[in-house]
Amino acid sequence: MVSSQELAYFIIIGMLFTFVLSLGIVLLVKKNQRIQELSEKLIKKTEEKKELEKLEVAITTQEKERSEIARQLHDDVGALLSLAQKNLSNLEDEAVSGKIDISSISLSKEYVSQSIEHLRQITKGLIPHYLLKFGLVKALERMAKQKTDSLIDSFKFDINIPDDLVISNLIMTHYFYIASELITNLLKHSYPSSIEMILTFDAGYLKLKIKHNGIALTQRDFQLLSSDSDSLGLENIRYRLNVIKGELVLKRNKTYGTIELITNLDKSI
Amino acid sequence: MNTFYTYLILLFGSGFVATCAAIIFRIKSKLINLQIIAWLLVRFLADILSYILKFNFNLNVYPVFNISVTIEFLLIISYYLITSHNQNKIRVLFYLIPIALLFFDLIVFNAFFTSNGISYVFYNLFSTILMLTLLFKQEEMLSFDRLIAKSMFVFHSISFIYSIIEYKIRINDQIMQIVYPLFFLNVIGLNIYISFMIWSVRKS
Repeated sequence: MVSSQELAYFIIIGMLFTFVLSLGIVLLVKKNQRIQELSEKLIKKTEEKKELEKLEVAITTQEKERSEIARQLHDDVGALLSLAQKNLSNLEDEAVSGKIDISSISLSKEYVSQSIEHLRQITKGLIPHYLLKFGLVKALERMAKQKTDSLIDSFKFDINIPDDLVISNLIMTHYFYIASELITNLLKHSYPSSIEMILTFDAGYLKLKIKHNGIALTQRDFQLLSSDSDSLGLENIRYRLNVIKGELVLKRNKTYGTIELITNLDKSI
Repeated sequence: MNTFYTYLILLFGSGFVATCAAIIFRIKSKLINLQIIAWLLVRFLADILSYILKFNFNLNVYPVFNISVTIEFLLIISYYLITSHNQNKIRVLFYLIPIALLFFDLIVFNAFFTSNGISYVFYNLFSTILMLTLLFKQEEMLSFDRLIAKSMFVFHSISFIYSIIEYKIRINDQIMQIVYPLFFLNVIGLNIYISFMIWSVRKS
């Protein structure tokens, strides 16, 4: 027969055991939850990485294709047309002496010249010749002026970067296209009447500040928009930012908004 | 006598703080469920009422506990159904369990004026199972509810062991003196934990 005291100790041991057991279950559940959270995070990260890789392949392929088309247009079609133009010029010279009808040849020459000009335009559009030839500052200025011309009342571009600053072609190209996409989106969605661009370089950071008086987004708005939107433009921006290890900082003030495109040139590639 | 007053202060004090904290927190934030507030309030009022009935009028306090256990059981079921987002049509049948147990205790054991052993054991057992089920459905719950479910699970699982032989504890002073402090610690621990949880969540 169990005494009262023994029974009491049994109960206490039972209660303590239950306490330890329930606490163990709680901890186990907590750990399980943590593992679940981590695995979800990992899956999300892997999916994002895969998406970025896909995008990288798509953009690289696209740019390779563009370069190839540009090369072919320039080396093959361009050269042939130039020869044709030269032949026609010769014929034109001969026609002066009365051998051939000069008007038809002149017309042909005009058509060929126009074709060459068109081809040049196409080639220019396919690879950023202007950017590679004249550099980021000039290209940004030209691009912004072309885009904003007749759409806004005032455009200003301030530059504060050293003359001897060297930026690799890859960073320059990505930086330029991000800026170009930002300006396009700004004009398309924010309806500004005034844009001011300031390009600065400080402590290794290349910063392009776009100040405008249109509808401005905050950093949070932009993040929500980026996560919800499946727009190719935004995806391109994300990919290019990832390549140059850059970031976008969006701010909204009472009367104006700013978008800052920042990259550390020492770390970007 | 001093021990008795300390006991009363700890029991009523911790219950009062936890209940007030829950009510104030509910006014400011909807994070805490009404069922939990009601559960704390019922327990606190049952303790107060029993004290008054016993020491002021020398009346039997078992009816108070029997009714309070049934209400607590109903509230725990309601909390479970709301938190687990149970849309099952037969969920209302859950509510019949405590009522059926109360009638079972009253009719079979005629236990209205004595300890309601069966109801109390099943109340703790079901609450432990329901809270454990909630713990495994964590992804559907708010983090605050997770903390509530964890504390309720630990509390009811310990109370379950106590309730199994409560009928023996109540009639044996020697066992009561050894076991009750641990059970009391469990009650106080829950009250303090809930108060602390509300305070830290409100602060953050």
